[in-house]
Amino acid sequence: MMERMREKWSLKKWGYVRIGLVVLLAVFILFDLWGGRVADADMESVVKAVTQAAGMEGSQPAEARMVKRFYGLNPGDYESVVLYAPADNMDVQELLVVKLKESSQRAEVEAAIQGRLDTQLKSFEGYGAEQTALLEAHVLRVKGNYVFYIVHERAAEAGAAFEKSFR
Amino acid sequence: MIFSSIFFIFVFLPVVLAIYYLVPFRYQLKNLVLLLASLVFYAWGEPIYVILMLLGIGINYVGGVEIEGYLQAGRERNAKVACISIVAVDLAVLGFYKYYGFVLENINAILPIDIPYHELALPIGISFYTFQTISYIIDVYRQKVEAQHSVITFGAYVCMFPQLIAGPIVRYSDVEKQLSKRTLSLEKFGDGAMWFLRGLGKKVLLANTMGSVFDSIMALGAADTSVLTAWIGCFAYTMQIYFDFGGYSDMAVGLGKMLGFEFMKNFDYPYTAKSVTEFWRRWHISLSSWFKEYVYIPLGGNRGGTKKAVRNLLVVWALTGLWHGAAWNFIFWGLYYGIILCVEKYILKERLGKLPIVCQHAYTMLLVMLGWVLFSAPTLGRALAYVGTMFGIGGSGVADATGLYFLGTCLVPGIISAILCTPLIYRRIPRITRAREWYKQVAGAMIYIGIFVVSTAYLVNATYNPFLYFRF
Repeated sequence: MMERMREKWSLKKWGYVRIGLVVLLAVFILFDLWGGRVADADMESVVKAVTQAAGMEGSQPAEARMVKRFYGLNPGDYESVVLYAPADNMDVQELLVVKLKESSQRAEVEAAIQGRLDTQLKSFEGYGAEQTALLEAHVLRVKGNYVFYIVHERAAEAGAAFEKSFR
Repeated sequence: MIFSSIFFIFVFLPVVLAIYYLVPFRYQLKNLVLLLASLVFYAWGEPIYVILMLLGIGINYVGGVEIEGYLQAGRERNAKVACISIVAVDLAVLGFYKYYGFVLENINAILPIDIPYHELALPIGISFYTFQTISYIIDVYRQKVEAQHSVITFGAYVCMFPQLIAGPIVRYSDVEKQLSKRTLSLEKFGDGAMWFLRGLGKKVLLANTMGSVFDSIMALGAADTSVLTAWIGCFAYTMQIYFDFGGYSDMAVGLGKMLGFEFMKNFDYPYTAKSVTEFWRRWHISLSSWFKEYVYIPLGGNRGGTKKAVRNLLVVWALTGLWHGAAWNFIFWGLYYGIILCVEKYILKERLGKLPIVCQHAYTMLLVMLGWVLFSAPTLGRALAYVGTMFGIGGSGVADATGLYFLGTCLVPGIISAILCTPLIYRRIPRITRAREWYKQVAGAMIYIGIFVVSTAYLVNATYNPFLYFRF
C-alpha cells in the first residue's frame, strides 16, 4: 500500500515538473511574441540609425528600379526596400535594407545579396584592392523580418546601429 | 554554424573531437561533452532559441519517464493522456513558430479583418528535433523503447550536433543502444572522415556551383528567359538541392561515425529511381519513414480499401509538403507527389515497369524536376509561370544567347553532377581505399585529401555558401 502511494506521488511529482516546464515554455513564447522588438521597429528609424552611424545622412536613396538592376529583386514584393547605391562605377559603397512581408522571403533576399556581392567581387578582383577590401568587410545581418546589407568603410558601426535599433 | 564553414572545420570540430576522445571512456561523460558541444554549436546561430530547445528536452525527458511510470503501474489511460498532451505541446510549439504567420496571413486574406502580426524567426532545426522527440514519446508509449532516465543522454540524443539542424531525423529506437554503448575505433573514425569529406565536396563544389547557375537564371526576368535557359535553371536546381541536402546528410553521417554512432543513410541515389514511388524510397529516407511510421500507418495505411488508402496518402503528402514550409506552394508540392504516388499505385501499377528503362528514368526525372520548380518558387504563381516558360509559354523563344551562355557554363559541372548522382564512381572508391596494395591506398587517400584541399580553397575564397534545408 505504502509502495503504491509512493509510486503514485512520484508520478504526480513528474507530472508537476512537466506542467512547470510547459508553463515556462509558454512564458518564453509569450516573451518572444510580446517582445515585438522587430515589429515595433519602423523602417524609417532603422534607416536613420544606420545612415547616421555610417555618416551617410546627406546621401539620397536610389530609385526602386536600381534595386531590380543591382539585386534582381522586385521592391513591390516586399513591405519596404531602401537602397543607397554606389555613387559611380568605381565606388562600391552601398546600403540595402529590406523589410520582408514574410519570413520565407529571407532566403531569396540573402541569395540576391550574395549574388550582388559575388558580381562586385569579380568586377574588382585583381585591380581594385581598396574596393575588394571594402566588399570583403561587408556586413550582412538578418533581424526578424529585416535584412540589412552594407558595404562601407564604416560598415561595422552601421551593423551595430542596425542591431541597436531593435532594442 | 554550418558544417561547410572554415570555423567549423578548423576550430569547432577539432576541439570537440579532441575533448570527446580525451575524456575517460565513460559514455555518460562522452554524452555530456556531446551535449555541451551541441549547445554551443546551436547557440552560435540561435542564442535565444537554445532556451526553447532546452525546455523541449526537459518536457520530453520528464514526459518519457512519466509515461513509462504509468505503464509500469498499469495506468494505461494516464499514459495515453500524457503521451497525447506531450505530442500536442511539441506540435503546438512547432506549429506556432512555423505556421503562425502563414495562418494569420491567410485568415486576413479570407476574412474582412486585419489581425496585426509579425513574423517570428524560425528556430533552426526545430522541424528536425521536434520530430525526433515525438518519435521518442510515441515509442516509449508503445513500449518499443525504454524511457531514457539520464537527462544528459536524452539531451545529447535530441541536440546531437551532427544531425541537429538538417537531419537525418534519427529515431530514438535506432540509437538507443548506441547512446550507452558504441564503438570508437580508428577505422570507424577514418570511415566517418571519408563520409564527411565526400559530403563536403558535394556541398561546396557541386551544390554551390549549380546553385550559382540557378540563382543567375532566377535573377533574369521572365521576358529574358528562353525555354533552354529555363530547363538549364531547373536542372541546376535539381542538382543543387540533391548535392546540398545529400552532401549535408553525408557530412552528418560521417560526423556521427567519428563520434561512434551509426545513423541511417538519408539518400540512396534518388535520381536513379525508375518511378516516383521509388524516388521517395531513396530521397530523405528518414522523413519518409517517419511519416510512414507515425502518420500513415496509424491512419490505417492501405488497410480499409482503396478510398481510405488514397485519403491517407494525400494526408501524409500534404503534411510532408507543409513540413517543408509554411507556404501554399509547399502544400501543393506535397499534394503533387501524393497524387502521382496514388496514380502509380492504383492506375499505372506494373505498366510503368514494362516501359523501356530509359523511358522509366525519363518519366521519373521529368516529374521530379517539375516538382522542384514548385518547391523552389517563392509563390505558386511564379512556379506556374516558370513551368510555362519551360514549355515555351511567356519566355523569350526556344533558345537565345543567354541560354547558350548558361549551357556552356553549366555543361562540365552539369555532366560531372549527373555522373555523381549515380553509384558509378562511389562503388569504385572502396575498391581503392580498402585495397591491400599500398599504392591504391595512397591513391585513395589522395582523392580525399584532394577533395578537402579544393573544398577548403573554395570556402576561403567564396562568399556564396547558402544551405537550402536550413529554412525547414
